Amino acid sequence: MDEKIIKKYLPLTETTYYILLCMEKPNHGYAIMQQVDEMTAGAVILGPGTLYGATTKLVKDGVIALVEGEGGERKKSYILTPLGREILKREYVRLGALIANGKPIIEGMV
Amino acid sequence: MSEYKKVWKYFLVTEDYKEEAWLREMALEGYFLESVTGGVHYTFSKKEAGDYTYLVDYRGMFEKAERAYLELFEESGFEYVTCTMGYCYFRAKTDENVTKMRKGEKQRKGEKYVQLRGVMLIIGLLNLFIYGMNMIVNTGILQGEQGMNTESVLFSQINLICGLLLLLIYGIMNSRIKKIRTSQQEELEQTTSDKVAKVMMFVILTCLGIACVVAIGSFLVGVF
Repeated sequence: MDEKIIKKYLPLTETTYYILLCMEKPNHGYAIMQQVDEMTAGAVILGPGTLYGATTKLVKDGVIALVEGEGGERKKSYILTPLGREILKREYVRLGALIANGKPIIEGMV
Repeated sequence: MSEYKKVWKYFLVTEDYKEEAWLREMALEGYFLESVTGGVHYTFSKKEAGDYTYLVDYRGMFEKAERAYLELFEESGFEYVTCTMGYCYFRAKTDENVTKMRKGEKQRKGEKYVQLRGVMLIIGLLNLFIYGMNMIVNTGILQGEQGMNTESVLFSQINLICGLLLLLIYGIMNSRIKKIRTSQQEELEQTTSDKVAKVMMFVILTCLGIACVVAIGSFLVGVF
């Protein structure tokens, strides 16, 4: 596992976090845009240029991989690589710790 | 018969929203973008007027517009217009969805400044370096009075001016990037620093113009 790349990505930006979440199974560009929109109730919007730029970079770094289109479909699909899974898991642990550590203090606030 | 309109216009790299707004206004008047040449010459064709939103996406100077890239815009409801000098232009009939998409491109525009910032810094420092070398070689510091070359020394002031101005623009872009990362606004308004940057670009271009004329002039004088 390439620690250098993991370090480069953590902590994840909001955008990258949601993009990666959508790539647990093979998924293609436009569907990802819609899913992120739904998941966040419109709070995080990905434009086509933003998404394309982000996926190109993620593929180059080996965080996600291209999947050959099934059957007649020539649409590009993406899926998390083991490296991508590791990054996402570590981010999840990190975020969980943030919440857990803040909980007793913040919930005690009036 | 369709009618064409050609317009010369120049937008600074930080003026993407201004450019998009201008293209929208043109569409409202019935002029639809066909092509852009050299980033300054816009060709429009006359059609039925309508409210269209434009997206100008910076791809990077040497990136090709791949099919998957264009398809993603098409799926998102945008029609491909043209690509020139690393910029791709897209258009869609203005609606809620399209406005939302445009909002989602803010981060992307920030990335563009990060790329261009580096170019400004390199060219700026290069100019200062040339100026420094020129001062050392031509003012006679090394060779004494005989080595003095007044023409070159005067000429190199242009390097000094360009270098300093480019570094200033670098600073302006820096603050712009910070603003993009922190602001919650959908669009960034034009600030005074943008206007200053535009004036500076003109000064630099004028300097380079003068430099060319002087260079060609002295060359011709030498020949005849």
